[in-house]
Amino acid sequence: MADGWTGKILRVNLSTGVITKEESSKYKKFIGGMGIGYKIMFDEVPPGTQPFDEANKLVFAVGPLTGSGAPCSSRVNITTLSTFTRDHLVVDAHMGGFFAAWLKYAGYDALVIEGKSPKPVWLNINDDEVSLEDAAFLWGKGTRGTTDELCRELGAETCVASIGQAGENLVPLSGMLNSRNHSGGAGTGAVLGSKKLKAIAIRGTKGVNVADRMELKRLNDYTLTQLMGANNNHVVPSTPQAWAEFSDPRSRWTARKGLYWGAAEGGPIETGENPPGNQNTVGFRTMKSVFDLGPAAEKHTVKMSGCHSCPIRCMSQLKVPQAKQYGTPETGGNTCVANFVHTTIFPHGPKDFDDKGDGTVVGNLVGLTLFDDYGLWCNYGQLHRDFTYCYEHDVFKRVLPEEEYNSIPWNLLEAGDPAFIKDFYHRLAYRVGELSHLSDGSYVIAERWKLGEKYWADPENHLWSTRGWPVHHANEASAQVGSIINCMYNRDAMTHTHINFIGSGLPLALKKEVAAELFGSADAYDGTKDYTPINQYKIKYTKWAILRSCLHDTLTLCNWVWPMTVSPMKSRSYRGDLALEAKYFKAVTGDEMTEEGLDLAAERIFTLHRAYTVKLLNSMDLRNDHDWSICAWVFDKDPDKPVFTKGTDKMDQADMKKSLTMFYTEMGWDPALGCPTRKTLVRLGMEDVADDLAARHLLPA
Amino acid sequence: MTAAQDEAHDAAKTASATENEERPDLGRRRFLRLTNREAQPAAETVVPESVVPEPVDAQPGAITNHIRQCSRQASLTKRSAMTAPPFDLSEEKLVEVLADIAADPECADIVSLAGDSDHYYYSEKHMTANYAGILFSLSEKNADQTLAEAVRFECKTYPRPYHVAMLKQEPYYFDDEKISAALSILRSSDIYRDIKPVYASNGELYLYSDITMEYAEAQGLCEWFEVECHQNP
Amino acid sequence: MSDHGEILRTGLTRQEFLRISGKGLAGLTLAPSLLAVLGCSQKDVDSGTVELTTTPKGVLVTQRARCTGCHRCETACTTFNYGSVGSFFSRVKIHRHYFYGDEGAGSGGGLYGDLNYTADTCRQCKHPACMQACPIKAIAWNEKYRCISVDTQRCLGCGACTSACPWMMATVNPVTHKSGKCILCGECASACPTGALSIIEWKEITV
Repeated sequence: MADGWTGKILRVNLSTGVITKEESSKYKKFIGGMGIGYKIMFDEVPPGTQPFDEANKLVFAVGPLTGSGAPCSSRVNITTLSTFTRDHLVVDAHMGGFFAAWLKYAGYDALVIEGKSPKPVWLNINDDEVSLEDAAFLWGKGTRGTTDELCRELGAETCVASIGQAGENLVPLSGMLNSRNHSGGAGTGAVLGSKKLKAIAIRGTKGVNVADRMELKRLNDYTLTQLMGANNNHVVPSTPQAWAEFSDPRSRWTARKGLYWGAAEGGPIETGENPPGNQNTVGFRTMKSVFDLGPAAEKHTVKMSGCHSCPIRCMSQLKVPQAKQYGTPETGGNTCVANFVHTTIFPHGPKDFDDKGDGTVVGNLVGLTLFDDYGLWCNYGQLHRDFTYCYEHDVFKRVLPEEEYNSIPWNLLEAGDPAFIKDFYHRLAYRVGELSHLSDGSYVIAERWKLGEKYWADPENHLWSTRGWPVHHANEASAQVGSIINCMYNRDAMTHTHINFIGSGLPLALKKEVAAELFGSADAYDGTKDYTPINQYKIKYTKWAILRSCLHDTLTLCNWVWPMTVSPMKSRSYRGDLALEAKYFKAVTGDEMTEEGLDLAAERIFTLHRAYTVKLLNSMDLRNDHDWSICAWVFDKDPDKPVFTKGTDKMDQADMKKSLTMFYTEMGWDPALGCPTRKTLVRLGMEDVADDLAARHLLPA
Repeated sequence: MTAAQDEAHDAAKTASATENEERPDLGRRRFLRLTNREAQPAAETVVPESVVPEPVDAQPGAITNHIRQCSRQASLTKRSAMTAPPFDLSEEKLVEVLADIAADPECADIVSLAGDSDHYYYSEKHMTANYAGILFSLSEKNADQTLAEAVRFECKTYPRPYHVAMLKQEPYYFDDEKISAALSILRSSDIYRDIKPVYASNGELYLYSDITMEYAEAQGLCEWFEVECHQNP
Repeated sequence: MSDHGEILRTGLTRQEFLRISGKGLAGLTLAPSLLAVLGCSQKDVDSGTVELTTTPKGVLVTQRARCTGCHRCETACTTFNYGSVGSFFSRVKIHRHYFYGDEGAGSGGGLYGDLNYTADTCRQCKHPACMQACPIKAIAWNEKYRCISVDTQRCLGCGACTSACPWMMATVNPVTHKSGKCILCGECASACPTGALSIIEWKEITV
């Protein structure tokens, strides 16, 4: 593995303090990232293990493209057991920022954390030199303070991933942070906390060897000038612009004349019009500060930023002096839900400060800074929706001891004051009182607080599965396609392949043409809220969407920008290039590879996830014991609108059951049970997995 | 399974059905067709000040460069502007220059749109037909006509109901008064009876044309854009 | 080159330019046409956020307010110059300033502070300390690159150049054990997704 991969896996046993290195080549058919994560977990973490057990592990894995300069390639996949969903099955967190590239530059394709340390430690990775150090001086600190301390000791170039107080206190909805606001969630913070591993600091001075540097450069130029649009690969601008044939007000390609990074040093910088073809303006296309927080964020935007090697700068960088009065720094920012969710708990909205709408900006900067410093995780906004649900339905009044209830500054909540957020997050991170169980996750609070059927059935509450995760581009995103995807994992689905395509901004007729080319018929793609019953083409679309996201978490690339399904170029008839991953793979590793070859590897990895879910759950009947946990609102919403009529994205139970059967069949799984068969496992080169399941009587006849 | 395109993608690939539908008839737009038209009365130039060139010899090259430059700057060039300073062409000379341009294959990118008050030129290298159509409408038509066209276009093309607040943005830059006046005409005039209002639950106004969109669809989509999109980021 | 006539009229020759840029531009009023060529405004110059580094091939313009810290300059540099993509041995350096700013930890800069960080590279000094420090004279004028560069065939990787450089620009690659520094290939600037880095060739500035 001379090119692309580093060839080494670092294994750290916290119980014994033993640090070992092993060859990564033995996992080559699983490529990297998610693939290595599932294989190690399948082989090494047996059923019955609980997330905070010594026997649980965390696998941080990157892939051959990580850090290679392929766009959006600083992503690390973190696999462990869930802390917050029913039965604690396998989950992944996906962390951007700089950690992934730095793990690679230090010389590792993966880092396996196992065992449990008797006392707080941090892991010091300095290229080949790796040691565990006493973390007594860090324990109790936030992620920011921890990073500051370690960088002061090790140098400003060190990349630190750290848990905050939430992880230390085993808060199930917690994560880790690197490079200020780049999070890896899904409860991984608490798993690290249970192992007493406070932080991982990496200094990496090596490089990712590339087989064909000229081809890599050519691919980078090609991708940036011809294929890539904006965040989520939206390929049309949000306003009509002279160069653009199409536009879409919901596009994340927000750059336009008259929209500025208003607080830039030295004066405002116009995002301007950035027609495709010029790679030196791509970074201006997405201004998530304004997209997420509204026009009031413009004057507070210093610039945008994001992950290592990504030309799409989706992370807001704000300067908000008003934040200082809450004791938080005046600068910061985030992207996605963590950028704007904090003020959604206010029943009457956040209070404004100096300008109309700036309450959203101030409240969210205060919120996100505290949230990320504590190392909390929001479960795709479900933490905040659960708060709202419990507040609106007087659950807190019912379940909190009176003294605790009276100690909560509800007046600040009603007033939309960021001081409430400060109080609230402190309670969550330090597990203060009954209220803090909100961050145990939906499955636990539903039981603990007896929230009943109506909690799961509330369409406003957006829960997908009664196993405890919310929708993440589900029925509202290509109906059965998003719905099947949302049934497959043990947390909210981290698949964006389909929503990127749906939201690209191109007209329906064009998207249908592309769908016909990819999946065999234009019937694969329905317009939003104009859905039709299931057909075989939608099943192919579903499979493609899942496998691409698995592939991206394996190579690793960011599935919030990849794949290049469509392009902003009219001269390409807006067609993207879905063989691009294979081209990068070949240029970087030197190994011959095709699109189909990578699809097959992704199918292997996704099927292994399924097999491990079977093993952990000790059931072959994943249809009934796992997938069919869809919340009732999905079928009952819009009572005045019949299913499959215009204007609704409700689903039909019989159609959905049929969809699952068709999907299982397409995957080569047992069509009734939804579990992998020996035939399929053998076809994918996983005889050992088949044997393991067979020995446990978990392989269908 | 997939039919991916390579970078050797044929740029000349047949335009999509949507493009064909939405594009004006090329034969009617071509510069060539306009050279025999009568002179138009001089009108104020639509060229922003910053791109007014130095006085030039009115060679075809200068005119086409000017049109292209205006297109890059997102504006149409009026025919009447060519008989005004800095070009100051006589009508005879203009007809001659236009004929030269029309005959020159290197000027095939120059497209014209014939309006009632003037004729407009743009370079399709730098401006799309859809955008030129909006600018044409802004120059030639009332706010209500412009709005109705935008609504019908979006409902047919994407399809989606039209967010009225978009009129405040480029390239419209309508103020509240202009928008409410246009809406009032839309409500009362028979020629706009296909245009209907629909509101999202946050109170935002959208319009749709019932020629190509049903109420339920318009309502579902505007709720998606205004409310549900934010809940599913 | 008639567009640039005004620069000449201001009497700003290449030599003149070298003189002022060496001292930094803050406080100087530049001709609008020069600003246009450099792609920045007088306000940028006044605020000191634009850095100009004169090189034998042209002027490297660094506008830190536009830098979003993506490090694509480093990946482009190391792809082209090493066929091994990394950060530490990159010849353009953004990472060292990214987290804590140009002045380092505690200065209040960078991602954890004022959100500003500058990409930095070899100044192409007139009297290069790296060249003088090299014990085997492996750093010398390279006619092909038209700048001072490291002869990697001969370099022993001792690191004397790194220590000698006031900005620690020449860097020994820990894998190859060879030093390297900027050869003005321009890959970093052509890969920058926000135009924070650009190289303006001399022919664009003087006639």
